[in-house]
Amino acid sequence: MDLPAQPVSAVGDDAALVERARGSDSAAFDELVERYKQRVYATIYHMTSNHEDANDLAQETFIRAYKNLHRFKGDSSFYTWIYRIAVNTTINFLNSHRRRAKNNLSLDDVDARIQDDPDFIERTSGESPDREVAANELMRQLNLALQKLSPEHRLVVTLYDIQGLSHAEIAKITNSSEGTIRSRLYYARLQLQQLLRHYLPEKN
Amino acid sequence: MPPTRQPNDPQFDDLRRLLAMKRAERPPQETMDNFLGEFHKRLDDEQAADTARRANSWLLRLRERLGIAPAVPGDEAFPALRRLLSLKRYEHPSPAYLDNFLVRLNRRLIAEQMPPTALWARFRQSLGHRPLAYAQVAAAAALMFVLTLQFNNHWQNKQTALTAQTAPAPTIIAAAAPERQVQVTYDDTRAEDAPDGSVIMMPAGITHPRVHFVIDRVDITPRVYAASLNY
Repeated sequence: MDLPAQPVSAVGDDAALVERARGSDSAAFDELVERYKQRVYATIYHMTSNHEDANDLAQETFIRAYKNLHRFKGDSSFYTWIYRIAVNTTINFLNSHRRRAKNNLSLDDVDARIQDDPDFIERTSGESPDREVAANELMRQLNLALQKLSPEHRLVVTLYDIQGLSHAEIAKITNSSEGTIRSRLYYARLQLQQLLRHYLPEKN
Repeated sequence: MPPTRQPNDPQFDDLRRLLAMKRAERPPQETMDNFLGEFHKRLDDEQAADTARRANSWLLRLRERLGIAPAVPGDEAFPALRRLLSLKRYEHPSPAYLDNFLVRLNRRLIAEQMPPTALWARFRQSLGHRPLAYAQVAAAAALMFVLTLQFNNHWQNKQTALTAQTAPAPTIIAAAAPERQVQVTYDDTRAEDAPDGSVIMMPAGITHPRVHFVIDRVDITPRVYAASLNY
């Protein structure tokens, strides 16, 4: 699932949709959900590594957004706002289910296109000859490694390295400084590098 | 009842001899020789990591407070890891799953906005259309009713017996009981004028000049009749 960067024109559209949704136009809110459901779901999924939890939390995110639309002042974009709700909802969930998360992985489907990705071929050349099995195993290992990070570290890796957001956007979403984001990212990557050394070339 | 087996039962001799062979099992000498060394090495590593973590954490907090971005290596330091993590983008639910997302969300939103259903309606809903369930609930309700009546009768009888046993002597008054008006009837044919102008009431047949009252009904038992009468 390629997640294109937020188009500039969408920001203006979002504001209009939010305004309409505030005026009890449910179709406008549905449009906002359609726009962001993939991103919200994916962010939460990469944080929880659990299909059902991701689904529940994504719904919870949009329900909170709907109930609090009147509080959205437009200081930030709707995109940042909905991400912030998703992130807070997920981190609260992870903090209250610390033990469960590590033992409750459930994989999403792995897109068959991964088998043609040069990075995948390079990383799994010595693995199972069955590409699909190798892809699933790789995803399982990636998820296990991510689950070993603290929720805050996992969040920056998810948003930056997987979702492709910028440091500035992540700083806005998490309400912290860019320096903090860079630093968290660095320490999270150090841990991941150690945990995933089997898949990484020696010199890295 | 099967006989109790004792630990020294000869029946287990073979098993005990077999298990005793496990005593001869030893780790390789090399492992034992290196154990302490490995342990200290690991302990040192852990301590060094803890110290570094604490220092980093302290430094990070200080930098964050001062608003100084920490000088940490950026993306260029992790090219292979970044490419590996980017493969996570291939992991996603089937398109059909997310197609239904909006439907499920709207269902949940409507459910959350609905006023709470009446208890009776929810109860009926939970029973559904099963006559047997209704019959069971009716039987349970009837049983509860009978039991409640029985208990109520029993409790009332017990209370009555208890009251009869613990009723105070007529000359005792409940300490906190308020003073109340009592109804007094007397035979006015026996009333006499007292020296101070009031009327002395005397029950029939008594000629003693002491004041007496014929009390028809008293709601509370006064400590002293004369003191509690308020007229």
